[in-house]
Amino acid sequence: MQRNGLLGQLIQGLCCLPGVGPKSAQRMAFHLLQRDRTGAEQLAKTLLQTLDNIDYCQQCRTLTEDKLCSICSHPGRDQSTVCIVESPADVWVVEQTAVFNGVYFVLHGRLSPLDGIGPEELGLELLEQQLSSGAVKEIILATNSTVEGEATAHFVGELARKYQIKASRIAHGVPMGGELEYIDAGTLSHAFNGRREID
Amino acid sequence: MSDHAIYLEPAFVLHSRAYRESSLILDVLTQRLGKVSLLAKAVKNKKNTEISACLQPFNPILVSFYGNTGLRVLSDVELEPPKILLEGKALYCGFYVNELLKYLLHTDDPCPEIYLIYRRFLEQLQENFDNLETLLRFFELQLLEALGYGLQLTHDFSQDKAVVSEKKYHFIPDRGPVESKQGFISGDTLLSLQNKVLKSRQALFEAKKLMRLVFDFYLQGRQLRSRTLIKQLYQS
Ligand SMILES: [Zn+2]
Repeated sequence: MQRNGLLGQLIQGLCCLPGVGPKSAQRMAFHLLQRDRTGAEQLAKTLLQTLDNIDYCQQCRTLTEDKLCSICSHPGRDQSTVCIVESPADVWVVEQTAVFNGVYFVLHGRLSPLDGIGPEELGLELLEQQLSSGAVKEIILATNSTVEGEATAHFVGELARKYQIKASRIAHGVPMGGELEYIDAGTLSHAFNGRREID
Repeated sequence: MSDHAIYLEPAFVLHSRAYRESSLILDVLTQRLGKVSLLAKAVKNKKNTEISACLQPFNPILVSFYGNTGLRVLSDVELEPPKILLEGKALYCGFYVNELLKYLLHTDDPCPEIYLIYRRFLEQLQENFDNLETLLRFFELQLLEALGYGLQLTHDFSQDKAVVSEKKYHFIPDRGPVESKQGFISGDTLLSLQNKVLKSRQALFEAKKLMRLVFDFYLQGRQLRSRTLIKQLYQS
């Protein structure tokens, strides 16, 4: 179905959300316009505000409205242990297990030469700065257990080795292909505790 | 559904990219049909982690799919043991070879040899950490041969003379060696390549230069990202 004008634009805009096809987008649009115009206004304002104010944390690159996210700026967190993850969603997943008290570094992706994604795209320069500063004693590689995740872990592991920093890889209790997002908290806790040092 | 259903075809995934929310579009190297594009529907979710595990590159798999040409639809996949597990630098070499195949193979152009060469290469790659360079060079030679770009290594076509160990040569990808005092490759290396033995560091170094020249020629200016990545890895 092709619609013109503002309504069409709104429906198409909603289609950019995961899990939303044209049919449900249309339902959402009509709902907002017919039944909940105040809610719609609030949503629009919030969206604009978050876009203006939420950016990458200057230390760990997760999403935050402050310069430093609540984890990086928390006095109780161990700044000398850094957990490397692929996405901000992974930070949430690891936080839920409550087994980790260090800080994170979010790559927003994984090395994938066939997709044109190299170290530059993952902010590895920023990570290297942190590793070279001497403040980091250990890194934990919690990238996904896919070939790209493994390649990324290897690359970051080599960076750590360059600065004589201990690096360990979490022991995924899942087959190759597993993404952190799909692992339950129990399995992930085991994976953290069973991490093995890479040499 | 279609007339053209293929069952349990030996294959490897070369590359996959996300399509919509939970599907993948795969570049797959099959034994009998060459490189094909497959749509794997709804495989990226919690329920199908086993399937997405199968669809990781470097796994020997058996794929079933239907459709004629262009984008076909994956209907089933299973592992075909034994597993191949690449780690560290070997993984990066694997990416490099996948990138070569992605760009050099035409879709739906059967070439059964390439599947076999590739499979043997991966099997050797997981065992020979110390010989990565040699393995890569011989894979490249075989690949060129299978693609119909086989190198002529033993004859200086400009002078109509056989290549001599002690002399230096330039190389023209689709023709062969030309004697030259400033040449980058020795006759010795050319003949070693022909005989499939690369021993000295110098020979490996020259062979690498040669292959780079030849592949740059056939890739028509396309830069390989995995090549850059391997360089960055060695620098770090
Ligand atoms: Zn932070």
